Amino acid sequence: MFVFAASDKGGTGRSVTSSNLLYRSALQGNDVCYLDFDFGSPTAGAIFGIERAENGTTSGSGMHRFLLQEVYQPERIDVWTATDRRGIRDGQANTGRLVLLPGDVGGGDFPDRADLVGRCLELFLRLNEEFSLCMVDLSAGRNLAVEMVLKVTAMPEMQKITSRWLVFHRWTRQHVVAAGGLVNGPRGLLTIAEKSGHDRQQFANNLRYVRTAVIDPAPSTQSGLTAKQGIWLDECNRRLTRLAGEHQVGKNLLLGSVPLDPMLQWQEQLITDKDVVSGVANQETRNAFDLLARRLVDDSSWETL
Amino acid sequence: MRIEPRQHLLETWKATIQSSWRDGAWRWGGRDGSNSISDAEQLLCILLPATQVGPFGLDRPNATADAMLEALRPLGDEKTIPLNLVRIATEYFTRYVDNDRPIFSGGSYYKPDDGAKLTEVQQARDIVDSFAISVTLSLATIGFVRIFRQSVTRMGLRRELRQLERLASTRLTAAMVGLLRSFSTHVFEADDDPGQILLQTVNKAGLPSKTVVNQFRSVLQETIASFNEVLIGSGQTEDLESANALFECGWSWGIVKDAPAVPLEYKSSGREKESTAAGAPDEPAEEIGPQPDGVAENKPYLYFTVVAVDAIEDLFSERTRVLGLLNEEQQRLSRALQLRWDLTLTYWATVATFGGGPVWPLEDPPWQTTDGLRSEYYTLLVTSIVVKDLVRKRGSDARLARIGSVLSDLANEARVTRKHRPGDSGVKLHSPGLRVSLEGSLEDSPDEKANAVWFVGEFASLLLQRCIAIAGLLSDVEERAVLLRLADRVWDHLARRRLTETAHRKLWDQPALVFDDLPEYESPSWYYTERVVAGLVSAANLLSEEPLVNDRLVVRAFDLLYEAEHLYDMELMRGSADASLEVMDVLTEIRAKLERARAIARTRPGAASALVNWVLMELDGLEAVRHSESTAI
Repeated sequence: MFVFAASDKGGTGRSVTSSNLLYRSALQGNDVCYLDFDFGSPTAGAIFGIERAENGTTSGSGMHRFLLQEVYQPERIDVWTATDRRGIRDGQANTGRLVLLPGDVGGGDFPDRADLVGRCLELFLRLNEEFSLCMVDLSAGRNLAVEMVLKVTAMPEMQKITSRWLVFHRWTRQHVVAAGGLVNGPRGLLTIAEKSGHDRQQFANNLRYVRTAVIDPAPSTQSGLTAKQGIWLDECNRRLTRLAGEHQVGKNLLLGSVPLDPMLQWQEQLITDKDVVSGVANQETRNAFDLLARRLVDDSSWETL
Repeated sequence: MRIEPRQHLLETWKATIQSSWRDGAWRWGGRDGSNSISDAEQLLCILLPATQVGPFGLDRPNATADAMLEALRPLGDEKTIPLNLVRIATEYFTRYVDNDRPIFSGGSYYKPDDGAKLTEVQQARDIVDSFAISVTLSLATIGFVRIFRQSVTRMGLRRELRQLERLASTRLTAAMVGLLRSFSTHVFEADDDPGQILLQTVNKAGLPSKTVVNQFRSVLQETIASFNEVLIGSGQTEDLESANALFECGWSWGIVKDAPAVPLEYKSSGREKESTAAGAPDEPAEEIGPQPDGVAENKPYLYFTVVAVDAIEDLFSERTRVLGLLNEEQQRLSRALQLRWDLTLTYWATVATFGGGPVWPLEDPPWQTTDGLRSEYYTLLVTSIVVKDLVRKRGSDARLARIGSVLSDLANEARVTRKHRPGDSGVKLHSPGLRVSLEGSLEDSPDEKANAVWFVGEFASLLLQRCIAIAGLLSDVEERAVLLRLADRVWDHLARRRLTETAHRKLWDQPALVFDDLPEYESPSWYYTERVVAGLVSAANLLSEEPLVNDRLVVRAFDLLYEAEHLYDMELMRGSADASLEVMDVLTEIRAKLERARAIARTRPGAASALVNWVLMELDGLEAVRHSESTAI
C-alpha cells in the first residue's frame, strides 16, 4: 500500500506525524518504508535520529538524484540500526522493517521531465513488492512532486495497488480553509488527480485528513488552562467544527487527530514508548500515532457514507 | 429552572439505547408490548431530541457533538449512528404496512373492559393516537433523511435513504387521511342531556338558558360558519343552522363510523419525480391502499383531541416549512387539517373561558364532559387546548397566569406537588390513569361482549409540557418564575418515577416509587418516556432563548453605568494612566468592562450591573487612596 502525505502549509507536522505513524506501524510488525519526497527540505533523517542524513543524505544517491537518473540505486537506510537514538535502537523485537529512503542535501525542485514518471513508477513497483506500507512524504503545497505521483498512481500498473492520501493540517481556521482548498480548490488535488486519469470520486474516497497539534478542549485534558481559556477554546472548537464541515474537511473525512505535545513542539522526533514511560512525552500522543497507524490499514475506517 | 434538560436528555438517550439496542439489533416493545404507537414512541425517544434540539443533531456527521456520540456509543460513531437510525426507522415503517396499506392499529394498547378478551379485529382498529404519533415520527424522519442525505455519496446508501423517505411520506399521507376521517362534530339541542351539561358548564353567571344559548352561538358565530368549509372526511354537518343547536368538535378515538373516504388528488410533483420517474405518470405516487370503514362514535374525545391537536401542529411548524417536508398533496391535506385544528382550538378556548364572569368554567374543576364524566384529567386536557389557543393568539400575561394557576391546582389535586394520603383519588390519575371507553368498538366483538378501553396515564408528563409552554409565553419575569418553579416541582416528581432496575434504568414509568400500593413494573413504558422526552425538548428549546428582561433592572444598570463612565473619564483626565503600567492595566480592564456592560445593558441588565459594580469598586479604590490620611503631605 502507498500512502501519500500532503499538506497545504509548511509547519503542519506532516513529516513528524507521518514518521511517527510509520514507526508505530513497524512496531506493530509491518514492513514499512519512508520515501522523503520533500525535495526542498528533506528532514526525515532528523526525525528518525539519523545524524548523517539529517537534512538529506550526502552520499549522492538520495531520492532526488535517483529520480533524475543520476544514480542507479537509491540509498536505503535501515532506521533500527542507523539511528543515533538508543531509545529507538534498543530492545525492539518482533518488529517489521523500517527503511528510510532519504532525500539529497540541497536537492531543490524538479525540472518537469516526462521520464521522471517512468522512473518513479519503477521505484514504486519495486518497493511495493518488498513493503506492505510505503509512506511518501510530499513537500507542502501543490508542486511538481505531487503532480508526478498523481500521474504515477494513475498508471495501469498501479491500479491493483492501494493508494491512500493523508492531508495534514493544524486545527486552526487558516489551516482548515487551506487544507480544504488544497483538496477541493480549483487547482486542488481532486482536479489534478482527475486530469491525471484518476476517477474523482474514487480518489476522494481514498483521501482523509489528519489534524495535528490539537488542543483538546475537554476539561480533563485542559490542565493548566484557566476557565476563560477553556470556554474560549470550546467555542473556537465549535466554530471550527462547523467551518471544517463547510470546507469538506469535517469529521466524516477525518482519519485521526494528534494532540499538541510539548515534546514535539521543541523537537521534531519519534516518540518512543520509553519517552512515554519516563514522562517526557504524553501518552495520548503516542496512542494517537498508534491508532492512526492501525486505522490507516483498517478498511472499515475508510468506508464512506 | 433546575431541570437541566441537556443532562436529562442525554441520560434518557443512554437509557433508551441500553434498553433497546442489544447485540447489534433494535428490540421493539416495552411494558405494553409492541404496536404501531409504542414502537414509534420508542424511536422518537431518540429522534425527537435529534431533530428538534440543535445541539442534539445527528444528521450532519461532521457536526455531531462529542457528548451526543458518547451517549449513543453502542450505536457506533458519527457515521454509523445515523445509518443505524435509518435502518431502525425503515424497519418501523415496513413493519406497519399491510399490502401497501399503512396500518395504525392500537394493538396491545387496547385493553378489554372487565377481563373480557378483545378480538383481533378490535385490536387491529386504527386509532387516533397512532395517526398522531405517525405524523410526528414521519416528519422527524423525513427531515432527518433530507439533511443526512447531503453527507451521503454512496449509491446504495442513497437508495436506502430514498426508500425510507418514500415509506415515511406514504405513512404521513395515510395518517393525515386518518385524522381527516376521525374528526368529529357532535351537534345536539340545548334541551338534550349533553346540551344541559354544556350549559351548566359554561353558565357561571347563572343566566337563563336561552340567553346562554344565544351568547354561545353568537360568540362562536364565525366558527359555526366555518363548518361550511369542512367538505372532506368526517365531521361534516348541516345541523348547526338551528337556533337552538349546540355542538362540540374535536377528534374521536378512531375513524368515525360512516366517515367518507378522502379522495387523493396526488399526481407526481417535483419532490418525488426522482423516485417515481419509472412509474406511470398518471398514477398517484403514494399508494396508501383502501381506506377502511370506521366504527368510532361520532363524538369528540378530549384525550384524542389533544393528541391530534399536538400532532397537527407539527405539520405547520417552522421546521416543516423551512425544510419543505410536505409534498403537494400533503399540503392540501394539511390545509384541511389546519381548518379543523383552528375550529377545535377556538371552540374549546371559548367554552373553557366562557362568559365575562370572574370565574372561567375552566377554573371550576373538575371539568365535566358532555356525557357526564368528571375528572381533573379532563381539566388538564382542556387546559392543554386553551394553551395552544393562547400560543396562537399571543395571549395576554393575565390570561396566561390564570391558566398557570389552574395547572398549579391540578398539580396539587393529582398529588404531584402534594403528599398523598392512602386511598387518595388523585393517585388514580397516574395509575391506572383515566379510563376512556372507546364507544363503537363493541361492533367488532361477537355477541357484543367486550368493549375496548384506553388508559391514559400521562398526567404528570403532560403537566410538565404545559407548564413549560406557558412559561415560554409569559413575558412577565415573576409570572414566568412561578411557572418554572412549578415545572421544577413536576420534574422532581417525574425524576423519582424512573425505573431503577439495571436493564431499563432511568426510563419511565414506575409510579410505585412515589405512590403506595401500586403494582411494580419491570419494563419501560415508551408511551410515558416519549412524553417526558417531549417535555424536556420544550425545556431545552426554552433555554436556547435569551432570558427575560426586567425593565426596572435596565434603568438601574444604565444609572450605574453613567456614574461609572463619568468617574472613569475623570480618572483619565487626571492622567492616572501615566502613573504606572499596573495602573494602566487596571484602567484598560475597566474600559473593557464598561464597554461590555454598555453592550449588554438592555439584554442582560443584571450582568451589566455586576460588571459596573466591579468597575465602581476599582475606581473608588483608586480614589480612596488619594484621600487616605497617610497621603497627606
